[in-house]
Amino acid sequence: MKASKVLLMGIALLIAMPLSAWSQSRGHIQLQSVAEVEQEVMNTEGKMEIRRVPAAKVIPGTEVIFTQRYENVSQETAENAVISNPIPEHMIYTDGSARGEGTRITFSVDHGQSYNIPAKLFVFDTAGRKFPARPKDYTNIRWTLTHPLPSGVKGEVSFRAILE
Amino acid sequence: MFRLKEVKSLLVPPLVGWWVLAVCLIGMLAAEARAAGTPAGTPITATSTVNYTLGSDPTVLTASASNHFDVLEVIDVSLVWQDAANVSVDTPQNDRVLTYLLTNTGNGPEAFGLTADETLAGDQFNPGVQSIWIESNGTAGFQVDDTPSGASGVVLPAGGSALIYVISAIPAGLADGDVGAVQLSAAAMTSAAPGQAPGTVLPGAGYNAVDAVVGTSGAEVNTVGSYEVATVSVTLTKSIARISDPFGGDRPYTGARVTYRITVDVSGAGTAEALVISDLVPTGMTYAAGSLVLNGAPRSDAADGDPADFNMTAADTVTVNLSDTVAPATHIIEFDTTIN
Repeated sequence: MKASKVLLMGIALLIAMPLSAWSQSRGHIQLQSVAEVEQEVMNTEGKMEIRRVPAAKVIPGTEVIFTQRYENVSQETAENAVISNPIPEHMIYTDGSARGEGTRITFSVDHGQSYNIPAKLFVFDTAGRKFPARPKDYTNIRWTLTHPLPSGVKGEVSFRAILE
Repeated sequence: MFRLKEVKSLLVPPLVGWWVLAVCLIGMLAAEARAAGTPAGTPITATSTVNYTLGSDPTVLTASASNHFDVLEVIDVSLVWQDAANVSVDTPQNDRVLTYLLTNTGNGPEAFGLTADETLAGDQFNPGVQSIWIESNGTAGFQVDDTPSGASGVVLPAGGSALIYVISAIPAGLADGDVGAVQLSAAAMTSAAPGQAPGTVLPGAGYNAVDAVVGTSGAEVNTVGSYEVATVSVTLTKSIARISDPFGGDRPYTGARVTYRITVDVSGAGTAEALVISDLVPTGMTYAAGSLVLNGAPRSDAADGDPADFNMTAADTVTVNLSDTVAPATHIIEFDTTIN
């Protein structure tokens, strides 16, 4: 009984799907990039709350939240998905702010030529001396999805950076 | 900072506009006290890329997305009085200088108008402010070939600074220790910016027509500097420290070596400026080469790096340049002569 109900619902969903989805024999991962800032505003109960708004107006010292939303809109499972994001010029990565459920997060200090975890990142001064990299040295962030991304599944990764 | 009515307007979407942004920016400004920063108008672009494969196909596919925003101009300024203490003045005295450092702590070029107010409460006299000058000739301190402040104000790049000189005439008849203060004001010349609450947004008023935000200074700043009447006196006492005659005694025979001592006593309060001591060797005496001593330290006769010489600044004269000397101070000059 239960099985037939599920089958009927499945048929109903298939009918409801747009034709374009069917015709898309090979789809892709859709990516959306968003920059936001947090602001304190009064809610309808008269209490102040933190709200995110698009980062249209930014002054030095502002922390901006960069979010990459992804969705596998193909009919196949995506494998080996890696999202990378250069830290924009004039912005300094906020230490420990990178997020990404189901991803392995690594950083680059050489504009994406190589990536590693923070403890294994180093920089060199003009005299060739080696120092542990600091967040301000990071040039790129990379999120490597640890599992395949099935059709229709979506997620997001993010980091924060401060405008110099 | 905002009236209740204005806060309520935040909840109405069509009116949110600048007030919401102002609330947001005030919070940012509280933590943002650094000078300059990323220049106003700078475009910030973030681009993310995803690489992946589909199914069993090893072909790497790519998708990317970007977002963009521009950096607003923060209008901010600081002004610091530079003199280490009240500037010593006589009564009367013209052309006395107070020095201030004006810094554009915003992130865009800005012009600042300068005004001075000497009619402040709490001091003993009103210095007569004669003019305001901007350091421009590359030589430290005020000179007449620096630039007088005019209607166009002082234009400073983001993070740029300029020394400002306020020139005053000190009235006659003041008492020792009287203080006269001058308040220098610097206000951003961006229309409507000065005096606004920090965080106020001025649409299109920034550099290259970006929006401007009033910084923590309120786009204007006032700083007080002071003069103090200080009468300083310089007393010279010349004596013979010792005589060594050719016979081993201390009699002033011909050929005896006479050590003169000049004690320079700077007393009172203030600074004896450009203090130079000159002593012409008496007739009938001959200066003993290499005998000049200042405060126990030998000084050469030549006009070189040390502040003393003989027969160089003036003929047959011992000259010691003590420069600006702050009271109280005592200097001892000694030199030898022989009796002809």
